[in-house]
Amino acid sequence: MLAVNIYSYRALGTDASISSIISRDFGISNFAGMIIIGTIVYLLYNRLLWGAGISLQSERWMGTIEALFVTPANRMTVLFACGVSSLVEGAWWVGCIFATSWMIFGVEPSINSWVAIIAGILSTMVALISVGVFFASFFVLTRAADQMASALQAPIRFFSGVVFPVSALPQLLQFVSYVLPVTYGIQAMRKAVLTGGDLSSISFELASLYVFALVLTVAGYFTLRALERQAKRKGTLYMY
Amino acid sequence: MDISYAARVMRVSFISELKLVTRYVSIPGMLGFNIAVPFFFVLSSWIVANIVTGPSGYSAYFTSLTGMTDYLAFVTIGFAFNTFIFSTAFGGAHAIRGEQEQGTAELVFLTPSNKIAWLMGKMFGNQVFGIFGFAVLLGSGFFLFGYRPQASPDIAAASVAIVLSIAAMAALGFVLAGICFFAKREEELSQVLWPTFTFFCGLAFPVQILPSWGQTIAYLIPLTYGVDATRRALILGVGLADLVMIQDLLMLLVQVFVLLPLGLLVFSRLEREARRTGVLGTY
Repeated sequence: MLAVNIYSYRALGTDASISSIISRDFGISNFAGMIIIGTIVYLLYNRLLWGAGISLQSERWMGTIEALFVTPANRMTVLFACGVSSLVEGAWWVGCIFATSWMIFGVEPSINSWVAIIAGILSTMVALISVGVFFASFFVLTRAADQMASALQAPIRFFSGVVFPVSALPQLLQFVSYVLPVTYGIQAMRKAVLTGGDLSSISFELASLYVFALVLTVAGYFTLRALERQAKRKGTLYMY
Repeated sequence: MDISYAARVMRVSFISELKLVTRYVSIPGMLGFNIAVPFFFVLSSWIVANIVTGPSGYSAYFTSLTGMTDYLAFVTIGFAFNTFIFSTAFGGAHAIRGEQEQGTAELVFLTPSNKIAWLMGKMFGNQVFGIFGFAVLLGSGFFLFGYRPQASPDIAAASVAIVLSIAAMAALGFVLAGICFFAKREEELSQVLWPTFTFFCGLAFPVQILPSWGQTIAYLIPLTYGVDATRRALILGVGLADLVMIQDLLMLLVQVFVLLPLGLLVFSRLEREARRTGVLGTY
């Protein structure tokens, strides 16, 4: 879909004319790089949604969820471990996509601070793992987790500005964008990789990512407890 | 082959697919997926068009490539087609995978019923939601994005193009369904093939901007002709007598006659092989 997004721009003008418009209006010199960075962060999110996010639902499908919930293991540790393993599992193909698209379409990086890039990647990963943890708990409350995960993909790809800077959205829609952690991850990485941003220039994005990580982890914890209570009361945990 | 018996099997399979979707998978989930995915792609294209062309939405470059003045109308019809790709090409594989997961695949495939009719019933059952999604997307293009055809739409030509596209894509649906007996990975197959079709068939941009090797691939896929003919009919008002329209429809017709029997043959062979090797129900 990355190539589709790049060609969607190319349908409307030459590469030079599109790049000059994007540079003039958003300060990003390379539109292909803008889309590639957006797509990579979104893919990480997607990996966590389908990895850690669906993990408890998978236990239900395999008939092992009750066994998991009667062990004394810390539930949050299990979920965080799922998140980290999803990241490790997804890292190689996300890396391959990044390298391949860089070679085909070109990113033209403008890097001033490797520290900013590493901080951006780590902070984005922490926030995205907490997204996975939150959804893992949330999805067990419903029996349609895979449909919900699928249905969430398209709006989140749109609102988080994978294909365009969020500031290109109408003001009202930007409010939705700014309640999504993916938005901040994409913005931090675009600034660090494409516009030569240093640690101070992405500090707002990094702070926002950690706030999301905290809020989503706490929300995930309470959702999980609510789920466990409900499951014990009704005896419906294994049903799907 | 007993035609009336095959028709009964198809009808029952069609009804069972509708019931499965409405009672088990949930209508909001199905509609959300059929409509939300293409709708947000159209929304993205709207933002991209705003960035590149400004509020006017007019790009001389795009018009020089396609002869069309409205990029959003072009994209809306392209992504509305997306629903047909899913319903037709992946409906059969999805049905077989469902039977495998529920442990009923062996029962279904060991009955003496006509399996092609069964599979077609499943595909048509999925198609109901595809057609609904197509209509909703066209409606949203009209009411939300101000899409106005350049001439009075030729519904008859568009309908012929859509029906032929579905028939041609059904060939791929049969092949994928057969592959699903062995690959057991219907979702992964669709996740690879769907973006491939979206890219090569010009759902989001004109195929003329693809490199020459990309255009060669594009013109081997029936969907490219189907979406082109439908756009011409609905946006430019081109009718069945137009030379370019005739070319598109003829290419589709040829592909239907070549690909459909081929798809049926591949499916039958793979089904026989799955029975022989005992992998019908494994997952």
